[in-house]
Amino acid sequence: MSNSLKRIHKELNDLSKDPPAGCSSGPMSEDEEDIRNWSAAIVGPDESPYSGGLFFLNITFPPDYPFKPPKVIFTTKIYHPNVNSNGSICLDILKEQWSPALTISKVLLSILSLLTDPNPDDPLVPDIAQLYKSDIDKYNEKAAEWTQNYANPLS
Amino acid sequence: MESHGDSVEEECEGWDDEEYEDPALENTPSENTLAKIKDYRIYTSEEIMEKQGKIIQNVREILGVDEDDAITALKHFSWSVEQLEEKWFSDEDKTKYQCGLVPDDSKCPPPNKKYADLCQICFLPLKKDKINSLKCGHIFCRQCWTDFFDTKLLEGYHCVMSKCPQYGCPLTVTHSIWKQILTGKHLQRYLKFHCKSYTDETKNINWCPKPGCNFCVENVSYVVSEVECNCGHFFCFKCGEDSHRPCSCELAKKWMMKNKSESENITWMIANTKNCPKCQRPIEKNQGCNHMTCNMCKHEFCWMCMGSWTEHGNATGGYYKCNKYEEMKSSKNDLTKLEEERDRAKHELKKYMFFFERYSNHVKAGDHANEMKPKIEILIEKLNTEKSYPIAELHFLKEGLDEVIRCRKVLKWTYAYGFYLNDDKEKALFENAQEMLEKNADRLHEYLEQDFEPFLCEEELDKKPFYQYKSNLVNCYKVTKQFYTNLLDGLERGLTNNII
Repeated sequence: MSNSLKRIHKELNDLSKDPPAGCSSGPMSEDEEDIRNWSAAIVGPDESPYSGGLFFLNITFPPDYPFKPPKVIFTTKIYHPNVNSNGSICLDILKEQWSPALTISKVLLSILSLLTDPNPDDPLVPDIAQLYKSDIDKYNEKAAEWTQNYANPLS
Repeated sequence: MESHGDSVEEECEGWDDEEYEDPALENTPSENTLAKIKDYRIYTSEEIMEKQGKIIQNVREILGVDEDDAITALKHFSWSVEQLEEKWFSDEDKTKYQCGLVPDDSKCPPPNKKYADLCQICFLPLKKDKINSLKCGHIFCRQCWTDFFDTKLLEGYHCVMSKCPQYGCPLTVTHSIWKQILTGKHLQRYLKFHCKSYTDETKNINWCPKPGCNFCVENVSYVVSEVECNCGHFFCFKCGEDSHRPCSCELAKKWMMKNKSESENITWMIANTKNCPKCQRPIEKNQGCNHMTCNMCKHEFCWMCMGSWTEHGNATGGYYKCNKYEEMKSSKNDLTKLEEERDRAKHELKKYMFFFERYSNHVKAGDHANEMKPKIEILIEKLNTEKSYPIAELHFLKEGLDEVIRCRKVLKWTYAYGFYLNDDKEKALFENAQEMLEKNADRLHEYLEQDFEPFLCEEELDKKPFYQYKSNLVNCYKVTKQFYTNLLDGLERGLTNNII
């Protein structure tokens, strides 16, 4: 087995033993060939307008993982300055700040903290960032509304 | 540098049979205007690495640091010793941190004891002999270091700036770790990048752009733009393209863009087509009468006035004359404006075609001259072995051909230059210089393309015709060379200010 696959298995193993709070993740299928495609779910943090929502993400590990970052996208619609309508996430550790010593577990935790603390100075959706900066109440309202509409686990 | 130019006239007249032995060209290596201000040095890759090594050694002594730290710091300051010194001596601690020489435990502590025996990348237990670590104490196994470097090496020479693989660690990976981990091809690749980080960051050093050539050029004063590499390739130091004297980089680029661009097609369309007044599709009229039927929408109209054909007939002048058009033309409306635009485009296109044709003729002639090189080599060989002319007396053939190639290169660019040159009195001077060089280069080229069989013929024992030929060629060579120098000197000193 390649080192890349060994590392993915290792992470999977660690995640099942000690899952980080507020998220879960694993391969999409049992098929060994598909081990590079994972899905993940994160619970909207309590102290954010995403509270009560359940957000799904797709994770793809490139062949040179962990030396290249995994590709992570939201599959649930979310109103956030750093996530666009395709679900792409603007997060430094998924790009130039990636380090092979990081893991999926750390990536998911970073995404959680991005939900609590958006980064409006490096926005992917300028309109949302603008609203976040100028009228935070309106932003919270809108984000909560989207959470209710698109990320409601009960619907 | 000596210049042979002054003696041209005298040589032209005074050349006679007794002087055959005078090796006219042998002592004048390729000297032209460029050689007069030759102010660049050519290094092999070994020599440039040696030069780089000296800089590193120098910094080690000045800063009192080891080789790794000297290299890391130099890389951070783009190999500018001056800048490094200045920052280092004004705030050593800060500079060390910025260069990635010291770890930052507050931001990125070494792994705690629980994980101390695990590689921080594959999370497998470390075998004792496989640990390599930087000053920060972050530990990775040899395999992970190797994979890390392999991935980085694909990113180009900037990989030499890589930081410790631990997230957030500011330490720059040291030169010795790279060398310790990598082997074979990958190590070679790293060492090449290590050298490239120096040459590419240093403004006045460039590698010869010819594929496979391993020389690099240091432009000492940065005055000359054209350099000749030891591999024989002439290139522009500033833009790295083939030499384009007498044009500036901008002009040469503009001309190349023009040759490539679709915009010329657009000019052609404006000049030669009109749009169907109904469906607006462009139509080219290459022959026939004014009664047009659009292929696409079947609309019938008059080519002259663009009005519907139904309004036309014998009363308006018939198939070949349109009275309506004459009327419209005299009344100075939009139609005449369009006409004028079309005329302008036509004129512009014609002008471009004129220059481009001549430009590409010199490109082709230059290619032919290059193809002749092996033939001339064979001829020299034959003349030497079969007719026992001393090799030293035959160099003129090769030098003559080299001159033709040089001239063709410059001549082709004079047409790009001429295309953008404004009409004024200097233009006449330029055109005269261009014409003279062209005439003489053509003549020289002809001399070299002539039939050499008579000189090689066994029965021919008289060497006089050959020496006569040589004397003619050498004279022509000298005159050509003089015009070459005059043209470039003239343009590069005076005329260049006149164009954009």
